[in-house]
Amino acid sequence: MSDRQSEDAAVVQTILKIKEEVLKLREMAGHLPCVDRNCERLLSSVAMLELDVVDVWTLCPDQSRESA
Amino acid sequence: MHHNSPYWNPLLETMPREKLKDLQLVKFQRILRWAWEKSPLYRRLYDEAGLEPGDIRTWADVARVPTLEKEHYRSAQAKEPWPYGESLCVPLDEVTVYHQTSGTTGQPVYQPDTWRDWEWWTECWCYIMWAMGFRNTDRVFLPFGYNVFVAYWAGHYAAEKLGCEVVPGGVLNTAERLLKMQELRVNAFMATPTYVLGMAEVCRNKLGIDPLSLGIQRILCAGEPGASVPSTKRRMEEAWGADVYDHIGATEIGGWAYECTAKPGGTHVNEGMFLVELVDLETGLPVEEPGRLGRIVITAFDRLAQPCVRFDSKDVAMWAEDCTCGRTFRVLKGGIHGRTDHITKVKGVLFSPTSAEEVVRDIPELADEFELIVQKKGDIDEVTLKVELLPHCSDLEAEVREKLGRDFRMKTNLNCHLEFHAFGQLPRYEVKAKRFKDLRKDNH
Repeated sequence: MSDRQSEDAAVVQTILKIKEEVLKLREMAGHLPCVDRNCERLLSSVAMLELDVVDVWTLCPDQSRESA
Repeated sequence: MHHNSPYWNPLLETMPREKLKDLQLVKFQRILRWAWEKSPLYRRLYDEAGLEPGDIRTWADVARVPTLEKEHYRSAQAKEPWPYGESLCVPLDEVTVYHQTSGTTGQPVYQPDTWRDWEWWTECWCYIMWAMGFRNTDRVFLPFGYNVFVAYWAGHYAAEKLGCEVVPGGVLNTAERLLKMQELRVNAFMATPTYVLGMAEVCRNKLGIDPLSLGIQRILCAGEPGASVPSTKRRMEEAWGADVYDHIGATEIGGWAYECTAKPGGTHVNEGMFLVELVDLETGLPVEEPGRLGRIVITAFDRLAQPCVRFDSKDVAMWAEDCTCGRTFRVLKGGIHGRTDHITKVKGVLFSPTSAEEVVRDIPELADEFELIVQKKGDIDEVTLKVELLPHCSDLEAEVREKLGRDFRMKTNLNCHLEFHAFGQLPRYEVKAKRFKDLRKDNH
């Protein structure tokens, strides 16, 4: 794996970790409306990072930032 | 953070075509499965065709998937869960925003979106606006009625997301909007081509202000094809001294195509988020080569509450050669060329009303407005083109008449009956104009 591919993998892992953490937060404190609804919005934003970046990497694994 | 990238997302926008096609196929399979699993409407449609998601493995399989039309939505809606019925793919309590189509072709289609879907709308518009050069230094005016029609709602949210300063110009009349734009020194706005030209006319003739003096740099157009019609684009750019860009979107689909700053004479399809297929107007076979008209069948890969899978938009377009901007997303030459229900045969000749717009707007002595009527005189089709001369050109009718008739014939292979009206006599429109009337259809 090249340095660039490692960087890309790290970006993907970071996005997925954010998602995991938000889900964890919601599990822990989702009984508070303010936490639940803000988590919903955070997850929607993370979903866009998944469409923009994670999908590119995971659905089409040969694609890296080399094209950019 | 300062960004020099001309691309909102270079990962997708500059992806090699072969890889992009691979990604599109996977994303198509994913949304098809979602629709099939969650929506009784889609399940029934595919069951009737004997298809299951696992059957779709190649592009040839994709072409076998039945297309969806507005009527499918209509027949599935207006029942429980109200009002989306069998087209809804998420629990009703996850829907956070309602919009509807304008209903010009029948009962409006109800459009639900979750917050995630709305983020997606906004994200799609970020691709659009970034490609047009919108940045966080722009102060953007939105002169539209904030209401049930999706119009520029996503433009509002995308402008915010880009960091622009957004000025919502909702419940104001045109003159008040222009004065507010002047007062705040906005440098960009969004409107239909009809309204962009109408605003310039009000600015000059009612307020006595030259639109050039407002300092507008960028105008985003949507809702009508005008910004991809060269003569209309030129009129708008000259009136405002601004760069005018085209964008294509629809309530049931999303914001799916955009012009970039290279102005390739058309609009890039956002192929990371949408699949656009052009199919032959008569045979229904795929159209891949540039320069041949086809009907647009479109899929939104990532819209979940009410998916849009192989939707027959009834719009007509043609592929262009590649753009020089570096995007690998294909370009639709001249944007949308019309609708299948507007492109019609007149005296046996295939006729697109957009061609009349190109001709009229290319004659500087003519005002922006026109009207085009096709009717039967006995057994013969007759085309009537109504135009206005600009006030200072009223003594030029004879020469303009000759030029207009000649140019129209050259462009369409048809003769037309010309009617000249006094400036200001033809109808003015604030949103989408209805300039084409095919009165023959009333007799069918």
